[in-house]
Amino acid sequence: MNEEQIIKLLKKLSFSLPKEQIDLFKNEFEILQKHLEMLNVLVKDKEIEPLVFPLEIEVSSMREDIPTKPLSQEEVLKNASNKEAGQIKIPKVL
Amino acid sequence: MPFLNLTIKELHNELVKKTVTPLMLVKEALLRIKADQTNAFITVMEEEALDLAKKLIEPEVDNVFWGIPFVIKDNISTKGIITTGGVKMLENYVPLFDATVVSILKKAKAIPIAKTSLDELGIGGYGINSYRGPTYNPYDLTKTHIIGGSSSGSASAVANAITPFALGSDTGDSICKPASYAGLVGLKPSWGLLSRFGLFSFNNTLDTLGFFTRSVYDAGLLLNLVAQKDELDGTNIKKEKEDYLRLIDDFEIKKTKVAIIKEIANDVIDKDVNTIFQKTIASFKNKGLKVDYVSLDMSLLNSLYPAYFILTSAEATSNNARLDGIKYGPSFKGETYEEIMFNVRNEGFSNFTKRKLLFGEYFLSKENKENTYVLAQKVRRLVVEGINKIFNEYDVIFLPATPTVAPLIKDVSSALKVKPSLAENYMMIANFGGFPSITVPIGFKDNLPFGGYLFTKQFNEAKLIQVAQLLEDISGYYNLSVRTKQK
Repeated sequence: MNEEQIIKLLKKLSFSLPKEQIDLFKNEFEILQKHLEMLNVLVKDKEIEPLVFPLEIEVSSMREDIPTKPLSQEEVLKNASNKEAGQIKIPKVL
Repeated sequence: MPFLNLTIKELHNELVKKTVTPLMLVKEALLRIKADQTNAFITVMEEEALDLAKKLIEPEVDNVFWGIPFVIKDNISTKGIITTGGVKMLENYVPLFDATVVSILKKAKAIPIAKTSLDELGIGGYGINSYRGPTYNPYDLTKTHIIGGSSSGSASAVANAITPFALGSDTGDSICKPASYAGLVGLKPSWGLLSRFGLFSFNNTLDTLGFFTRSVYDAGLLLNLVAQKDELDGTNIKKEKEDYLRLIDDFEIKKTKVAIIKEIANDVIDKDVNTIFQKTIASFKNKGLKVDYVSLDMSLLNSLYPAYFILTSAEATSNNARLDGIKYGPSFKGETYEEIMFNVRNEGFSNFTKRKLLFGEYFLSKENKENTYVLAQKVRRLVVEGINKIFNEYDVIFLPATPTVAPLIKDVSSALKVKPSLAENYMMIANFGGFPSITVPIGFKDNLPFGGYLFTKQFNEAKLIQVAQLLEDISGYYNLSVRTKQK
């Protein structure tokens, strides 16, 4: 992976990495390629359904549609660092 | 009498006899926390714990958790108490609710007294990646050995006999490996058995809550309490309650079939660990159990580490996208909300976590997903199918929990490895398959403990605890801690 591709991914993630960490990442990326080769050999010419969750049975469930008490405005705002007039404050978007 | 050196069951007897009160226990635990040299704690709930303890006057004979202090890994939500996830970004985050497991324990009148350190957001296996620094092994006063992670502080607290049990979470080996390095019983139940409501998600398809105790029996007691249906967790298996200790005195254990995966066992080169492991196998056989070596494809075993790396990187990236610094997080300035978000995330994550998330972003991108993330999911299926074939013939798989004792901090690195040790990196098999697993201490080398590891098919916890109890009886390391170190 080249520097430009890494920067593009970092931008999507909303953080940066110092140069020595990018070099470390590049090194790890090279190692990963070897690991991927090995994984590909394992699945080659096989029809394998990806295993997403460990249980084959239906595990998702919905609770009964019973109204519950929602969080108060004060509670919702409790952990926000910037707030004003009962709302979370961010810089102007438009 | 140093009551905190006792197990849950023993402590309950003393509480019922009124030789000790919850308030005395909490005060003793707080003193031990203050004396802790392992950097195990992030937040101490001194006032809250004392208030709760003062209200507990009349012991409840049938409630073994009444008045028992415990600690909580800091990625498990506690209402009104700072819960950091071990990450700087959340150092002031205060949850508005308790995790379901915490609610259940509080309802049983157990007393939470502290939040414990962990690798940042549960990412990292050595207990050295917390924003508050590494957790040291309490068996090593020189502060040079790891205790293992990510549930490092919880392991240290129980090994140090500060509390008789602790809550942890396990995504690849985050309970069962530190349990080995700390000489503890570490139980990771089947995926979906315990509610994960209130647990910070690291990897939804692998994360499981669990606990550290100093006896197998205590682990069973905890499981009996907290394995409850929970409507708040959509992935919680709505199983009827059962008694996971019901087989513990069952003589039918003689019919138990134990498998040892020879490729993993052969990767353990430590002579002392091997000697104890072989002695334990001989003891199993003497007790009438059938023990066989079985084989698994080496290329499949070698795939564990990279497949786990891909799955966890991808899901960590997805889960932690919500940490934007807007709804919660530290205050940073910026001309735009994107700039605020960038500043918060840039300062809030460690470089190690950033590299992990960078890999995740790569794995999840449209052009790479099929050849990385989906590829790892396919490998996961092959692994689980291979293990399930073993479980068609055997009740449990038994292995050394770790290849040796806790390594030196200077000798471990969280960077991606070219050739990872199989014996050090196989426990994620249990997470891949949602299999329940348990570590039990079996020996010492250079004054550091190590464990044996058992796992079984999904929802077979009663059998797992039965065999683990036998393992504890054989090893003799019941109620092991740095304060009770004896056989």
